[in-house]
Amino acid sequence: MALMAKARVERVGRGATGACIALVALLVVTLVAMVAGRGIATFTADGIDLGSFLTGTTWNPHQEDASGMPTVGALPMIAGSFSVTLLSTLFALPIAFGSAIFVVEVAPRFGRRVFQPLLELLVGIPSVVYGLIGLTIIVAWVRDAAAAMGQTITGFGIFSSAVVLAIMVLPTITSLSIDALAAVPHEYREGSYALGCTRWQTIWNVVLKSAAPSLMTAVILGMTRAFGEALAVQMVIGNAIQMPSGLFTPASTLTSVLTMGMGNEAMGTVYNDVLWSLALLLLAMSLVFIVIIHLIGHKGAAKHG
Amino acid sequence: MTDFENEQGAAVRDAGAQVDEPMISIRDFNLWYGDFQALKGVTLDIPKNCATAFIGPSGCGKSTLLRTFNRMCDFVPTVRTEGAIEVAGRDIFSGDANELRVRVGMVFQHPNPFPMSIRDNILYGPRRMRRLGRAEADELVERCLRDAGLWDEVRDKLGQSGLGLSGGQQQRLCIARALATQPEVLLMDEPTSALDPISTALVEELMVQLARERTVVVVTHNMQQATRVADKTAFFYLGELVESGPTKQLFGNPVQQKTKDYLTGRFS
Repeated sequence: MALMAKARVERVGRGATGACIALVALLVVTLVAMVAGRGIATFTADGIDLGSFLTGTTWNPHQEDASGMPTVGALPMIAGSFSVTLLSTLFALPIAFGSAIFVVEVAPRFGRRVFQPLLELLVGIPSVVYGLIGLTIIVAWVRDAAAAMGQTITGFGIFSSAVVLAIMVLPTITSLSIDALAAVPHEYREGSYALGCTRWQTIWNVVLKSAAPSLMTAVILGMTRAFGEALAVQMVIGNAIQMPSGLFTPASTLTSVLTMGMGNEAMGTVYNDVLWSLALLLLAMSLVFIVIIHLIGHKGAAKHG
Repeated sequence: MTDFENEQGAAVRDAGAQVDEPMISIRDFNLWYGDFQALKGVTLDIPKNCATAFIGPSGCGKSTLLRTFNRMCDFVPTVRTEGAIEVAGRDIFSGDANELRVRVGMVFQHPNPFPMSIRDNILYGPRRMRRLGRAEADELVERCLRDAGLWDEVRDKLGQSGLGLSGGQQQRLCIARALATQPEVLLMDEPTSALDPISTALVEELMVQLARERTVVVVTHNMQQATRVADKTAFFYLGELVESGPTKQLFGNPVQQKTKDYLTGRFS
């Protein structure tokens, strides 16, 4: 009897957890399938050329070009997304690594008690708040700074977005970097100190080097977040769908165009399909980021194995 | 042969022979971790170019004393010391700890090669001190690996990661790495406790060889190991140095009852 009851518990446990897995898997597969299905319709049903979509520099879906097709060149947004992502990572990286090193190597107690709770707070702030701060402070600062140098600009653009995004991805990169550095075995540090190396020689030559794969992962996860962020970027980038001509002119990203346009078009229209194509592009990019992270993970494992 | 001042020194001096200065001299040394006194009034001379073993039960202070010689215990925030330790006649606490650690190398309980190539592991210490030419670096790598008895096994894979080696090879790589800064003293903190018997035998043989040209101090849990490798042995119990002397004499004819009890396994 007891044996039967045991067997039933095993069955139920297995069944319940298995169902959870099945649900998640189903969700992922259908989500990807739906985005892909809609996104591809642009090229199959509406007959838009994939090449001209990826490389076209003019975005005006309501206007037809010379060949009678809607002008849907996505390159301005692709360029906008990439420049905003790279620039924000560039801004955030030194600060994130620097504070991670301080917290792990110099003041671990301060790090655990003060700095890490602070970081969690930063992560928890909704992106609209960041956008608001960007809109009222950073955009204004950029405008004023330019005015002081005799330039007249709006303050909206890639630079302001990158600053806002840098603040947003900073906690992600920092806390992952802290984990990466803290995971470096203490034996490596001891070995280095025992050879007469100073703390900073040790940090530079052993700690950072052996944490490099994990630090790369931290950076790429930060980039993924920057690439996918919509709301805050939309608030400060200026939303001009044109090829970015500089860091201080209004531009747009894949995400900002999506949030601006998605509610306004009826399902099944070409404009709507094209927006789905942009979403597919975003999805593909995050897949690329994930693949890179896995490749780094494998390389790291091979090196340490 | 070794001669120790407290046993034979007088006789040797009478005969007019040169008595070497001890490599490490410890005078009335006390060490506290917070309120806990880990070492109590230790006075000991460690002779030059010999192997000296520290034995005793866990928590007796032998590792603590070893880690004091290269000031690795500085990293424990609550540590406090009293008394004097000199290495080669110089007070270790007054100088720069990093400079001391170049002269006093250390091998740890668990092999800890850095996650880089075998070659880079060896060159790690020297490169932090000066620029090395290619030929000089090659020569240094070969010499250190030969001294650590590892050259023949790794000569064709110097560019491969040190982590790809077996545990025993990793430990010998760590020994080679420690030799690269040309230390006068090599400290070994239970260097074979994580190794298999064959690797242990290799490392023990190595200790004997290394002790011909430099001072080796080894902490060990394994009393047979002490008899195999050490010229002199010191027995610690509860933070005190109970007895020290030539290994043969300490194991064959211990003076203190505590030592006898430990050696016969009455406590461990």
